[in-house]
Amino acid sequence: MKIRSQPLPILFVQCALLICACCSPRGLAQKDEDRLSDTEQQALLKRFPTPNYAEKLDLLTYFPIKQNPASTEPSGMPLRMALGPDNSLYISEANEAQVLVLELDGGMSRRIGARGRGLSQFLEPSLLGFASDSKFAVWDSRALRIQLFDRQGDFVSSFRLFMPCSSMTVDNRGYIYLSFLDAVSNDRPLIDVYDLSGRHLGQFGRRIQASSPFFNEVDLSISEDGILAAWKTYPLIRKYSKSGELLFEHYIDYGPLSYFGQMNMSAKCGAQGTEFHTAVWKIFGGSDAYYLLIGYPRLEILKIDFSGNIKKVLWDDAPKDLFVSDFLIMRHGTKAKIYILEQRPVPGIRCYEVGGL
Amino acid sequence: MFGRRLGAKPLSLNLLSFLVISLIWFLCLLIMVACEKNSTAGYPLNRLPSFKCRDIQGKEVDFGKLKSKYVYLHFVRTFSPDDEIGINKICKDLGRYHSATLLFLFPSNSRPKTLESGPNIDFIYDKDGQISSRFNAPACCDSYQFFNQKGELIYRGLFDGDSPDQVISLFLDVIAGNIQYLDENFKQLKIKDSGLMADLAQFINHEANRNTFFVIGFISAGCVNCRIAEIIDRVNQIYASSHSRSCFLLEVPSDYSDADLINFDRAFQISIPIARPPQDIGLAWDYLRNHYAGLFDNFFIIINTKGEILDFLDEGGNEDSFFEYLISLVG
Repeated sequence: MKIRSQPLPILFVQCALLICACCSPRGLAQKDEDRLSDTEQQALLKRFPTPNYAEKLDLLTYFPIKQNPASTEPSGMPLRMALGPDNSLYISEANEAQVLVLELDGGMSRRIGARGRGLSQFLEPSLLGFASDSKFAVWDSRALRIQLFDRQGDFVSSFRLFMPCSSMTVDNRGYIYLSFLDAVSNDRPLIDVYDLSGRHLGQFGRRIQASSPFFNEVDLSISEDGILAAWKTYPLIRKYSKSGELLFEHYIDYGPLSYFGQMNMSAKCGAQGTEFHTAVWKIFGGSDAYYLLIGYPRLEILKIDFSGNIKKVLWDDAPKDLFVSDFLIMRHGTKAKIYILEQRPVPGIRCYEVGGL
Repeated sequence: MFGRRLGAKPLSLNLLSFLVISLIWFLCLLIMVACEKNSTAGYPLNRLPSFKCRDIQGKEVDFGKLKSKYVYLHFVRTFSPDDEIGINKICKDLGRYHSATLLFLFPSNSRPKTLESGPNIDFIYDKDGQISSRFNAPACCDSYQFFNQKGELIYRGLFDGDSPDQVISLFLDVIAGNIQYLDENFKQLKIKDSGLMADLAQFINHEANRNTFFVIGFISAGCVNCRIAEIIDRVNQIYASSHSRSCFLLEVPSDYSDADLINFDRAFQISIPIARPPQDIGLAWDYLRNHYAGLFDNFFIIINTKGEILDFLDEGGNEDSFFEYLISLVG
């Protein structure tokens, strides 16, 4: 095993850190420590003003999330969000170990699962993906397993994997693409592919040869004809075909992205994971472009075409301690709605409406 | 001269007696050492020891005088101020039981600030982990141990930030007498080992008839980046060099699907056979997992041909002593 090649003390330190860090649903880079002080935030806002062509987002509405029906105040730890074929928002919530299903107007539709190790139970549901109209997959980042449910929320099947995972996406064929967190080596392929029965189909992609394997935490998103991979620690975007060919690689030269990317690249203590700042928070694939979410120093969404050009910058002020964990875009004719999952300070969904996306 | 000869006989008899007695003592010593090895490797103390130390206020704490009470011992190995929230909750909920004493041991470099003390609560600095070592408390993480009014170890578990409510509930179960002695529970695996032996039989027949020791790993929460991966790897190395004298097996939970087994094999890349446990062993394992707060999610046992457990390594155990013992058995 690869582990054997590491000196034992280093291995134990890595293992201990990984148990604490990578089992976190937010992964390695997006830890609680990954926040800016007020001074840092103000300094970065001055250093990286929004470009002239940037558009300020106006908050259309805000849906609070409540981890249980008895809650009177917004509560819970929402981790990921996916749009279901029924036009509902599926949200993984860690405090009560459940998947919440919300209508697009914010109304609670139902709750799926409870805490436990059994069927339809989770220890920490995090990543979500829709396999087809009838099934959706939930990755449990503590049990290290995927459970499949039908659209009514009834359990269908499950299978286990034995590595922590930073991202998961599912295509319309029912292929599940996972990027595992390898605490030891940069040599592992970037993406593994499984079918819905848990059978390993293949793996592809290369990791960056960085000073620390923790550098290679990526977010995945399905685009129409391929898989997009965004490094969370570095503004590097790759697109692979569904058979694993590299279609393009973009370095996104944009103020805060480049700043945090370079800072992370030169971090010498990166093996601890705590030294990294998140550069790219999430990626969302579209038919002719992809979108990047940036969580600080201000909330920003970049639209980038498949040639790597930034076509649009949308932004909003980030309140103190804002931590956003996911986003998605839903089109209605010429307009689009952007849903951003806010984990803190108030768990909920920010909804914006924009034209020309 | 006669007298001398007469005197010589008793002398040789005495010498013989001396040698026989010495031999017996030597054998006894060997047996004691062997028993000591078997009984303590990887195990916590079975009884509350008698010794004195001082709490953080300088007040003397005499462990010998605690044996008439239920004792809750909490070992803080890596202190952070957030730990005080959970500890204060335990103190608040359990401190009111006068039949109990709560002892919290902190690293000597920690500075807890907001702890709520009480007449039956003591906070102690554990210099260099000396006290924790006496109790074989795991160094990797926070843990706790419960002792009954006879000073017998009833229960132990790992503590994390989510645990206070669970720990409180468990300790109340201890006071209510709902939890039995640790080793008695653990022996469930041994008592019901006919199924285990049957499960092993196929491997005995398959591999060799002269196997003398069986090493069985129970793995329910495997992760290739976690500590358990290193332990599995070490077992695998020993297996590779010694399977002619011993039989190795990894058991995974009975609800693991065929795809899970394949993915397990693929992830860990080991040559040890993997199986699901027979029903009785599966139930015993579930019991241990549910009642020992994660200590038995993953563990290894060494058993002899009679089904007797010689040693075990749980989540909080010392793997070095376990492997040292295992190597001494299997060569």
